[in-house]
Amino acid sequence: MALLEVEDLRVAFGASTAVDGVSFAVEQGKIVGLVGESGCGKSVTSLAVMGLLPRGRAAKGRKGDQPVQAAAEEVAGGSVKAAVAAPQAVPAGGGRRRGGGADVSGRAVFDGTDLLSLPPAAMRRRRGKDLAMVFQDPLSSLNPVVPIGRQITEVLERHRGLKGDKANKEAASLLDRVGIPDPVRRLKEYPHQLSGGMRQRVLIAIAVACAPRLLIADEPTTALDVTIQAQILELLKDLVDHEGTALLMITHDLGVVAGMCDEVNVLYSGRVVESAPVRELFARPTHPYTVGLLGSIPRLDLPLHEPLTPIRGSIADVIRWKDGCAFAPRCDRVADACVAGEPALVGSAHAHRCVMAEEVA
Amino acid sequence: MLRYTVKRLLQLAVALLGLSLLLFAWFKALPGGPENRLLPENATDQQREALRAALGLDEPVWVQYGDFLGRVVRFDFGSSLSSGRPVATELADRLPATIELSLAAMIIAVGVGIPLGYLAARRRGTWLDFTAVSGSLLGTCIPIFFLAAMLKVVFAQELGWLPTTFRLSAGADYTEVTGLRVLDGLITGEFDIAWDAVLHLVLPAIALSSIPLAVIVRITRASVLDVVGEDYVRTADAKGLKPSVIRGRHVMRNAMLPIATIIGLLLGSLFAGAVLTESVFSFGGIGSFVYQATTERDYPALMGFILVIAMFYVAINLIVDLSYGLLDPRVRVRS
Repeated sequence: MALLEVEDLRVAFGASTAVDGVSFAVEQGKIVGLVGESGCGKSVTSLAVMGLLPRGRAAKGRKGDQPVQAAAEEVAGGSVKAAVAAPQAVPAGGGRRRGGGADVSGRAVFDGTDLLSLPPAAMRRRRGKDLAMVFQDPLSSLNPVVPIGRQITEVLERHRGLKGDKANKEAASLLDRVGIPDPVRRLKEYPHQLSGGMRQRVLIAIAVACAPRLLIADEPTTALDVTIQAQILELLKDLVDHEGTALLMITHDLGVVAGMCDEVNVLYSGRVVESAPVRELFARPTHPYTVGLLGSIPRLDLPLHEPLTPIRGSIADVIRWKDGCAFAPRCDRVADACVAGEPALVGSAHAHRCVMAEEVA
Repeated sequence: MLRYTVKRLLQLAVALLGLSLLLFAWFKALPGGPENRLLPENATDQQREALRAALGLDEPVWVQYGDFLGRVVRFDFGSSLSSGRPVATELADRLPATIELSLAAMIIAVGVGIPLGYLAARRRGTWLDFTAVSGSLLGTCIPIFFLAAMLKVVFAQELGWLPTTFRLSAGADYTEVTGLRVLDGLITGEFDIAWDAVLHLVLPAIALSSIPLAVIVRITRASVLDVVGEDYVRTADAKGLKPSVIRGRHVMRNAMLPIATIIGLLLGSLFAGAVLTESVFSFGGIGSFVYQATTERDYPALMGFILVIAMFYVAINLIVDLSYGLLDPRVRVRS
């Protein structure tokens, strides 16, 4: 039994579906990638697992007992039928649009418990402790008016009952562990006094403060310089190797995937279109979308002026999954079979969702 | 922080100096001149000249300005033309009432406005939000003197729940310490006096608080809505923190930045409203004095009033700026 098993996760914001039946598993001590372009639903998936999406009216819990953002944005979500409506691109970092709660369905079983059915208060006791998240933009993700030390100790206080000097000491050792020099002095500083890489290290320190069993990293290096990116990835990999933490890595960067992940799930338009061990995926990409993604990576071994080969069209050119393959409008190998009903995910170790797979391979 | 404070203090001095120049120019430009007010209409030109010389009005303008400035920094604004008492004494007698009223109004506006604005934001789109927003619109629309008169008629004259006028009941045995009567009552242990003063404050303070209350509700609501959508609030949520911690440490501490600025600006503008409110409730503050000075063209009184109010305004803004530095570490370091 995997540590986290996401089954048929669906997230809809009103009439637009961001995640349309995503399933994947994360094993203890493994790094699993969730890959796709902006708007494919990867961030929304992670926020849904963390219980951080503003809730729609259907799923709303007791008054005053829901995530902060939900409370401010408790405007009606859509009805059940919205879940099967046409998927539409959701803005990057989706799920935080004003005025729309999310309707979440499916299961996210973490260590035997379905996180999606937990009451908000119970979920709050687990968030930050059993499962934690590292966000994309380290500057905006840290509170600008609270010293970073306090931003770390508040997690220690909440989940580990540490206070005062003990908490400060632990916070300093956490900063030390994520590679921040002179940690005691840094505790008193504010986010704007740190560099981008340092801030991301602080966010990681916060995330690992309570030794979570699952860490979700949502594009943790996107906002950083290339040299810093490598350091941060190395740090994350280290934590996974030493602590046995499972890491769900959300990224659009196939380079990150190749260097970090054990397993990869490629998302397109709110669904997994291909799922395989990392070597297998790079060696034998099966879904045309994966092939396209790999083909659009700049390569050093090609002639200098060779143009890149992008995937044509945009993620907004979709058809509904129940009518056929959502990627069909952008696919070079599209055939009649592609739009003749819902394509199934075939295979187990290396699964793909393409009816023309034999042709591609 | 120290450098920041010193810098702000210097800016304050420059602002006050500029104001004194403006005031001086204004009084120079006023038609008539003091000798017309002080001498009978059939005075001879020699008499006028003698008086001008005695008052130093024949000196060059810059010497006159120097004299003026020298007296102003010693709070010597001359004597009131109507009462004959020094303007500074008149102001000192009346200011505490106005300060007490303004503070009471601000306490109401902040104490009610911030929680209400917060709730309106968190329950956006509900009846509570609607009521708060439309109520605050109403609050800014109703003229203060009208609201004050309505409150007085309904709650004091018709229902008889609260006193209609003055700062204390007739015959109250009051010991003056600071001139703020609620505070004095608490200091001297005369709690009945303090309570009596509170009762007399309620209606005028509510009337005066209407505009700042409305503004604070709206600013708080907008500010909270803004902050709640920030990434760091999501981070706080991802830490599994208790809602009360998220609200206090992460939402309100950030949302307070614009609110603090607006409170400072409002506190200054309260003095203007106090003039109207005081006259409705015969509150005996600076309001009636200024009203009289304006109608009787009592220039020394007006000048003293303007300078004192300006000093308050500038001092309040200084406090706001300094508190801004305390609230927001980014301001502290940049300066």
